Amino acid sequence: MDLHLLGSDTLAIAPLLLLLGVGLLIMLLDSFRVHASIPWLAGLGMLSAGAWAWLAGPSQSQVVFSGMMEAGGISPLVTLFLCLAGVFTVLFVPDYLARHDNKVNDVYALLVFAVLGMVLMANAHNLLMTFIGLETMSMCLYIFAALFKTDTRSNEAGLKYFLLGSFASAFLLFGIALVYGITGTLDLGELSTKITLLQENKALFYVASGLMLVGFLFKVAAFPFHNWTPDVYQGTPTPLAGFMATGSKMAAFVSLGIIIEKLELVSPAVDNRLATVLALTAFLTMVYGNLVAARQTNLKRMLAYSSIAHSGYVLLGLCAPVFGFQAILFYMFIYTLMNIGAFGLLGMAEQRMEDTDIESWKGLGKSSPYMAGAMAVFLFSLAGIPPLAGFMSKYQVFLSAIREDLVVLATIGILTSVVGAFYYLRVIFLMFFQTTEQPSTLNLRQKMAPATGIAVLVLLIILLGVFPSLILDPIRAAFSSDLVIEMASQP
Amino acid sequence: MDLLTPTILSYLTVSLLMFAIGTIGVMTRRNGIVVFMCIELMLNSVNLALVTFSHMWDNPAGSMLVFFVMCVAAAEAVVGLAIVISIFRNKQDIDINHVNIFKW
Amino acid sequence: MEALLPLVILLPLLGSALVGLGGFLAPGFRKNESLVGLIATAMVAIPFFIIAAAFFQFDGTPIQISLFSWMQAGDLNISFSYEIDQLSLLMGMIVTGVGSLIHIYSIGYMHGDGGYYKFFGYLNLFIFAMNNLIFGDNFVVMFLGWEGVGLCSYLLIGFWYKDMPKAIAAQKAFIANRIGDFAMIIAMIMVFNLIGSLNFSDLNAAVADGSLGDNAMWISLLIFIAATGKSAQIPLFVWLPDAMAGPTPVSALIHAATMVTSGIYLVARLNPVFSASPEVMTIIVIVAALTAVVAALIAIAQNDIKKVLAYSTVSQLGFMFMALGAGAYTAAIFHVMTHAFFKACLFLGSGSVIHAMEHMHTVEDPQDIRTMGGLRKYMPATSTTFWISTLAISGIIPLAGFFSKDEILTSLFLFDESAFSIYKIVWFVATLTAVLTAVYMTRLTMLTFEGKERFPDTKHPHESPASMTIPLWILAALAVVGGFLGLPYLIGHGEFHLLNHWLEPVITNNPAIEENASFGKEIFLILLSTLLAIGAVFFTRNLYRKHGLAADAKVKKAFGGLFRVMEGKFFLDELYNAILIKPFMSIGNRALSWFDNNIVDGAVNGSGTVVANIGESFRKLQSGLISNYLLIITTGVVAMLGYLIFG
Repeated sequence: MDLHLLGSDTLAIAPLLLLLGVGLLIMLLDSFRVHASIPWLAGLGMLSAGAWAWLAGPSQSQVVFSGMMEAGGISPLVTLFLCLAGVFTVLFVPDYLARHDNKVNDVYALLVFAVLGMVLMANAHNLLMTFIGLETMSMCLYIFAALFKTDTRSNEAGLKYFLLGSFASAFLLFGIALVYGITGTLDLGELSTKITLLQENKALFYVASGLMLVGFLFKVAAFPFHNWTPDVYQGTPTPLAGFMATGSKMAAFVSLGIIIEKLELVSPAVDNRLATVLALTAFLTMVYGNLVAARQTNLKRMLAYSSIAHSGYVLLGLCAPVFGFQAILFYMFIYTLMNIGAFGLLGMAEQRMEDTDIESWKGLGKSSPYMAGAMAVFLFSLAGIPPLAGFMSKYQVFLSAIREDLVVLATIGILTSVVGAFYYLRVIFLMFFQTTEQPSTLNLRQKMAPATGIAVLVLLIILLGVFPSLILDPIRAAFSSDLVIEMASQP
Repeated sequence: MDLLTPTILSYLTVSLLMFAIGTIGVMTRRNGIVVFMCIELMLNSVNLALVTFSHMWDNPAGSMLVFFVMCVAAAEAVVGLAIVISIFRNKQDIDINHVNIFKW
Repeated sequence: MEALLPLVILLPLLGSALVGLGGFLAPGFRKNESLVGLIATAMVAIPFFIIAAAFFQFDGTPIQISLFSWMQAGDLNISFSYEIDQLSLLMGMIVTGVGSLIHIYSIGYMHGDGGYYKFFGYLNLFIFAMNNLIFGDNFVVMFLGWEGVGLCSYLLIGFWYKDMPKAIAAQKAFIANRIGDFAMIIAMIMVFNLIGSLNFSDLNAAVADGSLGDNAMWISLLIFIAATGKSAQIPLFVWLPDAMAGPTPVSALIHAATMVTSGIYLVARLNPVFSASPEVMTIIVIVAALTAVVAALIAIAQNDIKKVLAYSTVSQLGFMFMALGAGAYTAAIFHVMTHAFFKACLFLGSGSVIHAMEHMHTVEDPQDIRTMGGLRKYMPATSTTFWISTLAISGIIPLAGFFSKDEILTSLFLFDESAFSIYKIVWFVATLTAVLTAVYMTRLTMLTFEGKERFPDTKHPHESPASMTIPLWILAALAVVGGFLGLPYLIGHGEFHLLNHWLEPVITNNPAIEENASFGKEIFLILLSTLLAIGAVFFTRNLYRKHGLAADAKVKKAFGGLFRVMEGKFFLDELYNAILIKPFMSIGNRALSWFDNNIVDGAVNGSGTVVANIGESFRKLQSGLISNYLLIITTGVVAMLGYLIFG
């Protein structure tokens, strides 16, 4: 235990401190009734935290704060991605809340804290921190779901998310406790040196890692722990649902990826039962998500099921060590862009919470061609149609799976994504090729901030589809400087 | 270090039983508050296990986690009760199966 | 020169962006039709001239152009790189050359359409995608183009999407193509897994050094399946006739001259892989022969001018695949070229006719040849060029179609020496199809342009404007002289088969064909096909000159019961409906009803069958009840732990 907490260690977690400060400042300003600047503060705060992490973060991976946090390696990039998810979300929130006569400025503080939790979780080097990060994030998300206190739909979303979420974290916690029981440590670095100890207590180790897996699989909405997703997304204020679908998943996947790497959960050296579980979950999630999504009549619900399906693809990437991890980081970033865009646009379109029916998008191509065009880009990208970024990210994941000889699973993934293309294209078809007498009833208000957000997201999706190396190269560089993951991955 | 020494084992058995009771309670009860209490029971059973392990390994990491779990549980209680109360205000009912607008 | 080559790829994209986005953003620009047309045409014509210049300066060494590295994942490096070689130059010339003509033609044809700018935007985008397909030196760039042309085809078929059947036709095309694309993806995965690279040259090299083994068969089979989608072969050809819902220039460009031949191009590009798998070659030749004869039979019984041409295209594509199946890759490419000339001319001619018929307003269906007749008087240019192309496609010496078709027939005949083999049967079927081709094309032309007018209004039909007739004349001229690029082996022992010499470095044809050739056989084949073609054309012409429309009844009688099958298009649509779409829909519906409250409720109350019970339990998965969700989660946990501990 060396006590240089105020030196370089503090600098290494400065983005976290910045987020914390911004969150607290927002709460303070709110109590002094300084409202107008709050969204700006939140957005700029998260943006600068992300930029700081990325620009000033240590390049080589190191463990800081008495082994609690990781700095360097992939963590600067992950921090940047998570902060960007928050920044893009904040562009859509004020307009949405104003339209629903809800002026809860706490949302912005909670958004910042949620990002803080995610960053904590993804950069944790100790299962204690993983748990705290996850709970910090979840707590904020529970409140997001239940944001509209007087609306029974929002109530329902909140209750469902809360009960199921805390139920799942109890399993996660039990898993952590068992890992601790077997090895006597919660430190991920130390744990990876005690793998032999874990493998000697095989049955217990299986139970422990299985229970931890449950906690993460719940957060990423993998079958059969997906139940909450459609109901909660539908009841959550739309832009925040987009944040929920992206940021929390990215954090959970990164955290899970790190744990998988360090505990060698899918390593071929060990018995592969966990790998089978993961592969089976990926399979079921892809199939279920896509099949059920195809049947939805509500766009928000459809996007929720589609996010389940996307989790399946990411899980597929998780089944393939190293390359898969790189691929899923790329995938999650692209997915964040597309999904926040789609949910944000959906939020701009709805006047009341209940009108997210797919039918109401009929003929939007005529009445608001720009917005319909942007939606088409998001949906095409979600469907994985080249040359958009969504294609590239799917391609990377499938490629990594094929490299690990998961050809069958990858083929199923490709097949289900063909099914998936159907329901995305249906919406595009409705928007552009269905003629109705009266134009779409949707009135897309084009306020400055959300419209800018949409434009930026569309541009990014096209740009990254054509030049994916803009993101892929930094990811690859980050992984090659992340010694811990590299070492753990060598059999 | 052996998990199976008699004293350790008995603590773990209690913990496991509590966890099972909590899980069964969560699944069978319909009152929102009781379900939540059962979840708290599960968390506390984990706390017991953690303390036991901490003693067994003679290191403080487990006990440290216990404190954080207690904090988290308290925070969860705040959020959870707030949600339950707002539901009760709107519906005068906290049966968890009576909130099902969203389905399929 | 080389510095200009990237423009071949980039200019059409630029044009698409300029015209499409410009029109979308600036209503003033949108209305300026001549400017829109000029930009779009220039963006295809300039690449044509660049390719032509490269073609004539080409020194035999392939040129590599790499725009930028697209992605790099470990040992895989995929870049936007293009290969300029003999084959891609030739195809590029055809695509941009015919493309430019069709752009010019469209300026007149689409005049006054509200989506004028959109049309040209899509058209340029199509050329961009097609150029990627042709010039790409690896599977990924090629596939990008492959998907891109599919997308443009979808957009253009459904161009007048307000008409529901047209929107549905677009979807049909899309779905049929997706089935093929799936095979292509699997082929790509296999190739990557086997040789660790997606470059065409690496794949061809792997075949050459034998490291591919039996897998060559699977790869070639999958690529052929992909080609049956794009190039409209049995069983996926059903989309092409429906695709005629698009504007006529689209039918000429995409569904006759270029996109549909991309399957043939791809097979030719990968000719070593196919040559290494004789089983697949046999499959190809059989499927192709079936497609050719079935489509030709259907064409005889159609009355829609564009439908006849569509089935004719399917049939001619069958010819090309037969050539591929015999290993005569050059013959296939040769036919791709000549077919591009005369079929584009025919389609554009039909567009000109439809244009004229539409102006009369008295005719209910402007595409029905039964309401035409005698149009030669009114449209001399259209009718002359149409006749030339008809004679060319029928294989009348010395027009272009004669040479390419004769080469295909010769290759099939000379494939082996035995008197009775699969290839001999295929040769027989192909010869029969050639006769049928002459029959239905002559019928079409006779009914359209000759005889008495069968429409009431004799004042209004008029020739199309020069912007439409000039492309017709150019294409007709090409249909006359195009064949001289490939004079038969007979004349100077292949000395004058210019195309063969040109393509020799990239294409290795089946050597057996040349070995089996003898003067007697060749003379016999040439005489046979000449006589049959001339005979069929004359016979049909006389029949229809004598009886007019009533001759159809005689044809019907001659074919007997078969005619009903031909009229019903071999009932393939119905067949697919019955064995694929309906069961799929009903299974789909049933499966979906598990998740759908209303349908399941009905089923449960009514029947209580097993299916409905399963459906009911599935429905409960997402019941909206928290208790159930908790139960499902716990079940999941228990199942997972159970497997982990005991499994």
